[in-house]
Amino acid sequence: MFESQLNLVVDPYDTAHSSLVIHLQGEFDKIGLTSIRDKLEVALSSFTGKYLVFDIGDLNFINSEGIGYLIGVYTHVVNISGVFCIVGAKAHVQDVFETLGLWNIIKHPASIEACYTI
Amino acid sequence: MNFFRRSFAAKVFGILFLLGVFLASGLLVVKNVYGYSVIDTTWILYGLAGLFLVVIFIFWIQVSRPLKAIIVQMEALITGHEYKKFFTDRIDEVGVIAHFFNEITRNLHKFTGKLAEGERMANELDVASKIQRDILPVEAPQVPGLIISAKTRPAAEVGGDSFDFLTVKNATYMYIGDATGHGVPAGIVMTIVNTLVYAYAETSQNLLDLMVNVNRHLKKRIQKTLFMSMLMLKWDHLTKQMSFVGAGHEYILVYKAKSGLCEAIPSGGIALGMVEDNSKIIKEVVLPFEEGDMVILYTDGIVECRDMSGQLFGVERLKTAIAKYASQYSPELSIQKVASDVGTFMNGHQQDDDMTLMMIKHVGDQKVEQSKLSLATAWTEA
Repeated sequence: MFESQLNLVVDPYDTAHSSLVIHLQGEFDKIGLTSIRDKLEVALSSFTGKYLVFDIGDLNFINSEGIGYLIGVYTHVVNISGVFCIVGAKAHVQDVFETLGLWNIIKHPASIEACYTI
Repeated sequence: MNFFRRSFAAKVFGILFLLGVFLASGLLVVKNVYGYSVIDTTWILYGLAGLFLVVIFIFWIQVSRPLKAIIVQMEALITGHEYKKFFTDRIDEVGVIAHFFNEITRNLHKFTGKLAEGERMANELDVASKIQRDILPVEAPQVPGLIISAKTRPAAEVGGDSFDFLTVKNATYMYIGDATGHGVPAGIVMTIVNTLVYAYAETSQNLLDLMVNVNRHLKKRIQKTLFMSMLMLKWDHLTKQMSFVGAGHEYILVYKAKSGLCEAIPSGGIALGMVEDNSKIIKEVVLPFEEGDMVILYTDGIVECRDMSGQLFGVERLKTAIAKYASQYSPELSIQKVASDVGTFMNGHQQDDDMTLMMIKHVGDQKVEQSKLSLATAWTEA
């Protein structure tokens, strides 16, 4: 039976850019979210910097549960006057963001470094 | 002393030992003081009879009576009658049985409480599911110039997929929506959206205005992690024009009768509930829709269903299936055929998300009577 899996890597806080980069790998659905939620919330709860970057270059799938969670994070970051960026989305993951119209509100520069110019 | 408290047998032996010592002492006293021995068979028999009675009495007081009381309560428990707990500080065998009974009844009470709570929640879920079923139309409408068929199959007790049809003056509005995930939260979002669509359909200036109003009021009422993608179609009865507004939904598929091909048009916009004001992001678009063509709306449960190896059904498979069936069958039969293809593809894999499919065929000025069965929205496979 197929089981989805999601892994999370949180880079150390970058004081030079006031940024936190989070790498997501695998499949971001309800099961995936459950497996990383605690670790992700620990990382997000202490975030007070400017840039929160989700590197989803190794994300193979995302559904509405994953999108819903990211929208929640986006709203939180915007409310604390931060910048929320998503980088490295694969073509089919880009399609999901495109379909839902998320690129209308979420910044998605070509690289992590490019986020810092926003 | 603890040994005697823990064991009833030790208590009996202890008492018998004391009685034996008392009796032997008595015999020695009689022999030494009065100078004769009372070792007589009759006295021994009296002594044994007396001991036997004492043992019986102790056994009745210490074992038989409390055990009988426990058994009465056990019978009451088993037969579903009211039962009582035991209050005792005994820690011997009888005490252990009494404490065991108390523990069992306590756990049973806890378990029964959880069972009742689970039953109550299941009943509430049934009610929520019924409310949702009552909101979704049980059959598609008969609209001049169109044949409409829609089928839905929720994944959980309460689904997040939604669709409906409403006619206001000379226009029919048809929408399909998909709230985040499924289950109760998704069901609540779709219920709010459905209510808002009905509330604003009559008063909104146009399709765009309707979607802006629905979004503005939805955003105020839901958590930031919830949203709903939607595609709203408007069929003008007089001009025979089909237009749509997309709110971050899947592609609109259009089957072109002339070419026999199925085109995928991005719905555009942004899902409802994501931003406070979507007026600058969404737009109304007129669809290229001629007689014989079919418009197909679907939710992601169809294109994101998986086979046993984890592979997705995908938009391309859906387009291919539609192109194959739309030329031969009515919208209702085409949906059944697609549903069958989806079922074959999944091959027993669990349905993870709600599935909804709507097909609308342009029939020009033909008058087509549809049966109750063909208008029904319950999901069936060919």
